[in-house]
Amino acid sequence: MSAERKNKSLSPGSVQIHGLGAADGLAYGPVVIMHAVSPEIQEEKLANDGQVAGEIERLARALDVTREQLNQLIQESKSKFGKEYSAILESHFLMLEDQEMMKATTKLIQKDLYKAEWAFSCVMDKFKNRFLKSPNEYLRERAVDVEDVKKRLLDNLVGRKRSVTLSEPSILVADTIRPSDMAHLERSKILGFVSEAGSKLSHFAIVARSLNIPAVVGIANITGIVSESDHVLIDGYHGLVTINPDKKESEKIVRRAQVAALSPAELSKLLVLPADTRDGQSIIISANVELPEEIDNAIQLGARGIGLYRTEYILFTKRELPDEEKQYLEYHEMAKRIHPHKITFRTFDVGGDKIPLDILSSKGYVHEENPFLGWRAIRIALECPEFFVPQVRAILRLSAEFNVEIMIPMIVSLDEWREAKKIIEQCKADLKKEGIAFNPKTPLGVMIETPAAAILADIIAPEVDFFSVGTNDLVQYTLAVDRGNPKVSGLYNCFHPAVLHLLKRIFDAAHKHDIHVAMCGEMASNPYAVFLLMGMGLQEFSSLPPTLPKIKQIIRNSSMKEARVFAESILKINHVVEIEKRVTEKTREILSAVSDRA
Amino acid sequence: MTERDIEVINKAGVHARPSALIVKTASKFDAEVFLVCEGTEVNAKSIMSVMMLAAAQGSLVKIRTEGSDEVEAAQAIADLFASKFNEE
Repeated sequence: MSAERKNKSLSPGSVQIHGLGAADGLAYGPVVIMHAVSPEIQEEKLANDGQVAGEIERLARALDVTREQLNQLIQESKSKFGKEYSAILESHFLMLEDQEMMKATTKLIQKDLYKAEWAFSCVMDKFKNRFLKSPNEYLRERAVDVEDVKKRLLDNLVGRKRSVTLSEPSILVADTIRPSDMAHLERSKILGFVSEAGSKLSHFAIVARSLNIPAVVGIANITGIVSESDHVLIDGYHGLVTINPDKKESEKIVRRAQVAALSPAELSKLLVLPADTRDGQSIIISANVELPEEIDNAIQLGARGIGLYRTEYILFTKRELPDEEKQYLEYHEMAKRIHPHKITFRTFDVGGDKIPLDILSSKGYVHEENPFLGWRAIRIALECPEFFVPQVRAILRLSAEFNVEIMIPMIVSLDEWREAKKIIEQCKADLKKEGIAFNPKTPLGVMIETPAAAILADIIAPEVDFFSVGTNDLVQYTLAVDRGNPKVSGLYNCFHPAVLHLLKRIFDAAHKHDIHVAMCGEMASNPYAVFLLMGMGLQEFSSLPPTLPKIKQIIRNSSMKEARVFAESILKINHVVEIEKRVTEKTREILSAVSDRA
Repeated sequence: MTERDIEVINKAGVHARPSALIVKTASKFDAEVFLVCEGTEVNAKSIMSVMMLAAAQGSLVKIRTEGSDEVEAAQAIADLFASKFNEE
């Protein structure tokens, strides 16, 4: 029993451990540990020369079997985990055909009479160590791939299997999660990942992000700290793992962030119905997405548009700045899927905290102590047109065919917006000159996520087509709270009166100047905020797809007239605790009275 | 023996996908195919060796081939670099 574990008795209820968030989201569930069943390979020799041919034949058979298995996984994984993932497995396939590896392994068997297991293992370790010694982080991560291929082949040589069976939805805990481990798992049974090794650039982290599975990495000895009788709450936003937290509280936290607890009957009924209030006011519900695959899911859950497409995802998987044509193709795939509904492209919202550094290092990026207050988003875009212009052009080109909008993040002043708009207008002029089609009326808007922009909403509104409120940053900047710091994260609360008054200011400015106002931050996915926000004047909720049905249910069972009165009364309260209590009670009241309208 | 000097011109350099393409192309020929970059020589039919090369954009790479179809092999690999690995 480790030291960390003993803490448990000291602070009854739970132990919290810090790691690194590798994929956003919250999950709570039972632990399943994937043990590293690395077969113990001993330095063993053949009895005599006569066995060499047979041993090489045995290795060849194991290579064949492994390649066959990988091939099957590649086929299966294309539909299950997407193209990025199958490309990873394809590189594994090539490792099994690696000429240098074959030469060295065969030599060890022929000359030194080593058994195939030992010979192969030595050769792969040598390759692995070369990757590990690389100064390049990307190459160091590839050591995991070499290890994965090694284990996979050894399993076939000695006939052992590394896999777990998930009987119920669980949090998978492992020393390292190898790309091929995931292929055996059922997507619906994976609630989250926790691993000892790995980084944001690990292949499984990339895949986890693409599938919206929360993941926390970098927790030393986690497989020893937890056991399969434990439950854990993982927070992929902040890289936190809480062991055996209060069950009810955890489920509440997760539910609020994610899955709307609706019966399948309620759900299917809701999906075909519009998001209209009892008194006939229409609210738009749309989704926040990163990947094409997520769009189909969002549509099934009732999304009528994409209110936030985080374009920076394409930088994450590519590790390089894709040119205009490549971006156009990626975006085309997204826009096509949601057509005829709209899709709002947020231009690259990158900064030190979420971007592979090699993309920006050439532009003079240096490590920042505080990336949230640093060189990011529009600040980079205005300084580096080669970063911004191809993206704007790619999106504009789509506007000829689809219903697209462009949204600029991190605006703090009217000047910034004007400068961004000038670049966009120049792009339009260039496209026109080049005879390339686009919609000159493509809506252009700003993301309101800084207190500065919120305060200036009335001044910015006349010059934009829409606002979309990003509450995560807005709350963090307004309350001066770093959500990643457990000492103060409790102060982070979207119902804080200061936040609500700023929101009111933003909504009022939008109405006054007759522009559309949406919200794409986490608050728009919080069922307890729906009634209040409607009443305050929000017109569009852009949320995490799983929360859409619940949001629609609340809207359909509310009256806009009552919501306005309610919002007015809430804005008069000065205590965050009291506000939270009132909105929670009100939401429960609405949900308990769910009528046949569903 | 055939030798060709080329420059890595695609932005990402020789990363995972280009490495795979090099290996797949080299393996089509009987000739031995080597890449030399900054004094390191690697077998172009070995994915792990080619990946380790991690040649960045702007690097100079020498292609060296030896065997019955060495001229064609060198040409095919040079074409691959010139096409920026069909990435851009």
